[in-house]
Amino acid sequence: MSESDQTIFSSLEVGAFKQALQLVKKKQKKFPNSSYYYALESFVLWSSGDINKAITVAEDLASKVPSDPDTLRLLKEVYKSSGRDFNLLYENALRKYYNENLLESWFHSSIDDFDISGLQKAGMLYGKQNKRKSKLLNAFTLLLASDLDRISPAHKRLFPMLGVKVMEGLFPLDSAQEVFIYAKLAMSCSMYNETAKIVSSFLTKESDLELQIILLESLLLAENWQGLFDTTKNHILSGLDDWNVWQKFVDSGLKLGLTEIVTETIGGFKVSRNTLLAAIYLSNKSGNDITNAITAYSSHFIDKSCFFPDLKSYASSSSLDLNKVISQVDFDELQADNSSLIKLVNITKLKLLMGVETLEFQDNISFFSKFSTLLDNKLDTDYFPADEFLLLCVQQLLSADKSLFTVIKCIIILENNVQMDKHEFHLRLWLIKLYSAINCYSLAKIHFDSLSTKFVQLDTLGHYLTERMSTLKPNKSGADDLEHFCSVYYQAEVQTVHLIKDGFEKGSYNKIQGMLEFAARLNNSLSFLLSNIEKAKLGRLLENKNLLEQSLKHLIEKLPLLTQSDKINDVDCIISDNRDFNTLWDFGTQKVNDEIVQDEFIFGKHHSVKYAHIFSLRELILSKNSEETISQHLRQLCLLLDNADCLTELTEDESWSLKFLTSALGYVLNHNNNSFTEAEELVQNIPSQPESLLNWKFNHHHVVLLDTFKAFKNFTLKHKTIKEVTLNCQLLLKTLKQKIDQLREEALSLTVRSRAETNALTDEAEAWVSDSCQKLNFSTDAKTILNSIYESNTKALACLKAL
Amino acid sequence: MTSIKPFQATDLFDINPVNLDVLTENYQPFFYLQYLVDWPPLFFKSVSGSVIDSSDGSILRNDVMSGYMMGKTEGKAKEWHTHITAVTVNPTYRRLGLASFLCEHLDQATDQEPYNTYFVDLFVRVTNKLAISMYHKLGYSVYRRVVGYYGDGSNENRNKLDDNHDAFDMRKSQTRDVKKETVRENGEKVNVLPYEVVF
Repeated sequence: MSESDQTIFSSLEVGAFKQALQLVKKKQKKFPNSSYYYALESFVLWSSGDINKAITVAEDLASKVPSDPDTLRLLKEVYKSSGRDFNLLYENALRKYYNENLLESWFHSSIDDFDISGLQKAGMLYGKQNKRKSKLLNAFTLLLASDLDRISPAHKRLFPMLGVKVMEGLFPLDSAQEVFIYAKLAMSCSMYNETAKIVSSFLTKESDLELQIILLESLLLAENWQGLFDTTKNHILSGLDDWNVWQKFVDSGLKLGLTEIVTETIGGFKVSRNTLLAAIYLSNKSGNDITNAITAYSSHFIDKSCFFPDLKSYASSSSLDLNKVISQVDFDELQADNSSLIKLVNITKLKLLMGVETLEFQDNISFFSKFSTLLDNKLDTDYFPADEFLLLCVQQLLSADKSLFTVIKCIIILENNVQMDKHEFHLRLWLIKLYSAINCYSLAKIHFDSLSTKFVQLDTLGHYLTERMSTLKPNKSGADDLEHFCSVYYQAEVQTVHLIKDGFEKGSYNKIQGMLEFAARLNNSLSFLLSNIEKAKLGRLLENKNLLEQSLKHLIEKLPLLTQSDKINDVDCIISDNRDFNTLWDFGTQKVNDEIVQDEFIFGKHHSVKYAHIFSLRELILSKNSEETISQHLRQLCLLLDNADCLTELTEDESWSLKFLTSALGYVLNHNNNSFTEAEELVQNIPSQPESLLNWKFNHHHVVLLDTFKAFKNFTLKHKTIKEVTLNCQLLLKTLKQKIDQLREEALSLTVRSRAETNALTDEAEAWVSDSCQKLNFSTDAKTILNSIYESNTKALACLKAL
Repeated sequence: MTSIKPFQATDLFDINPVNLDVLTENYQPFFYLQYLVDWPPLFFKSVSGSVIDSSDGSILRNDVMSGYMMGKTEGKAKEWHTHITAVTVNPTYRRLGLASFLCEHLDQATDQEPYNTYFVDLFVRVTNKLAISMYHKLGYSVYRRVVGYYGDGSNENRNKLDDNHDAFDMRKSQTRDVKKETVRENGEKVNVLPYEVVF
């Protein structure tokens, strides 16, 4: 790329679209026959939001069938964003000017976009080459495409059939990867017996885990019970102790009426977790009482942490006598050792799951304290199973009452325990959640940082901090934190694209589909999108144009995924929610009980794709210049806001702000007096701010109001209108400004208020610790914890003062 | 219940119960993907398998990742070997012999075609008695002590031992090494520096 071309892209980066367009025009004059600069003109127009004009230029150029790879890449971006068939650009070019470089460019460009349709179409052209590797590419990309939701039923049948035919032309298959491609295609054509035959024959020469699993699956789907029974039995006789094998051995044995042989084989194998569970599975499937089998399992594994998850699915079985299982543990005889502790934890969880017992707060405290001496000899890196009792306490407290004081109680319990068991990540995750709820971002961040989360974990766990960053930390440091979270996506995109290409090059076909899915899910991550929405809000609040531009670029890119039909579920076409909500609940009965933390007070609803859609539209409305595009987005936004489901995700402040903005912006654009009346009413009825400063909604109210004011003010500055409308808008802004000035004035005394609030809570908390938690022997007193809460809270409030 | 299944890139989204553990390293995505591309069969996971309800075929319990193994092959001639890069187990599934199970699977997978290596090796902190004992039980022995393996590279004296930063390079010979030439006795007394460990 020449230096002057670089200047064009740099102008685009900072949103200087006019300048970029002028530079492109100069280039067109200098190189009138270069298709590239016409494609670039279209790309610049598209980037500036002038979609219609961008498409006109792109279509005009496409009609001349350009074949320069760089030109096609730019045209593809414009076509993609407008929902046009961008692969047609390459198909037409290759039809007219076929060459291997262009084909390779199409193939690589499809990998860059994780576009499986493009890979399949390019793969068909590879299939015409007389090389084994090209034929494999053809067959493999047919396999990838046959899994797409969006293809027609006819193509769903056709693609694997074509793939099988290509692979049959390559017989004999000479590697595990080739057999894998054939087997997956043949399975898609329901050719289960043929699959089993080819795979089974290959496995006599070479062992391969993936193919072993496919063999069992194909025999199962072929309902070849004898084959499945013989194969699994051979594995077992060779000493393989794998649950997948045991399960299919039991299933096939029962189908063949060979229960006795199955029982004998299980009994004849060395005693293991799998064999004991296979015995339970066999009893259950045979419709027998499973109590004896479970008791046999329990006698070996009741003091292992796997006990509960292993048996959980059988807890509802009517043929289980729980008392017999429980009677294996003499609760009065339990010693203060690890084995007894795990037994107690397991039985407690089983009872809770079956609803035969409801533990009170003090029961959990007693159980914990009985074993707390074990903490003295525990290695730092070991986990303390009794922590589950404290997490159960937290769950009980919050289920009963979600007041601020309850949250403080939970924090006191968990803070004390995390000092003794500093690597216990469940405790940390809970503390992050609770500190965020009480407007103490800096404390939440300390616990988050202690988890040393990196890379993909920032995508799955980052939501603990990022989802309300503009509320919790509305300053430059908050923006930097968001940037840190987003960095994983920029790095991963480059890395995964490179490695997928490497995977194709090295023929690691059985990993490519997963890698494409991984890449698409990261690229289209909901967490990434929500972080960009927070960046946009912070960009406006902090008047940081670069931050705003960066986030808008991402929102524009992802808008097509938000607006398309719900019926398409292909990973490259949907926003992917990769957030981990399960680890938080990996204790007790392991039931994800998010209503507790999604409560109004705790932290509001998790933001879903709908929330992302609403706020993406809002940001694009506020940033665009074209009134046609704005009106279109505004209509979509109003439709979404009419949907009651969407409203439940919004806070009262957000709901108010969106209603105000849609009315006020509609008034600026259409001069409709009704819109003005609505906006005027809304500005007189701003939701009230929570009394307590130890509530994330305190910051939230302030931030939303200021954001609304700035958003509306910027919009009116950008969209000149008639005098009467301008005057009315100034009135609306004036009222909003008065409210904000009032908040700013109040903000000056917030530190004193925070001190008073935490002091009052300290007295109450000290009394509670002394009454209810003496057995826990806390090393850190309530006062110290409340003091750090005060300090963190004042930091959060200080952000408001600076806005 | 434990099954061994191939690791896929998308498993990285479900890895938290294993990787939030303080002793488990989190790598950049490219590191995991590189292993998937270069040694597809040697990167696998153990799962606490799904359970299907026999009455209606519904899934009573989904697969949960209980651990994983990242292995690779490298070296030339008699140094052609399998290396254990990472083996780790979800805390809920510890003390069940799962790490051994994962190691044995890797050993078996590379003790035959297409890999057919001479030995399996790994590095372990000299202070990690639990792991060293497990590897001994699996047939591994210390081949050499790598002085400063976990350090900052400042130690250039192979006789300046430091338990906090030194690693044992442990090996287990495989079928192809008929004469057991790739292992030795008293390896604990053979000291090398990290840069001397090359294949």
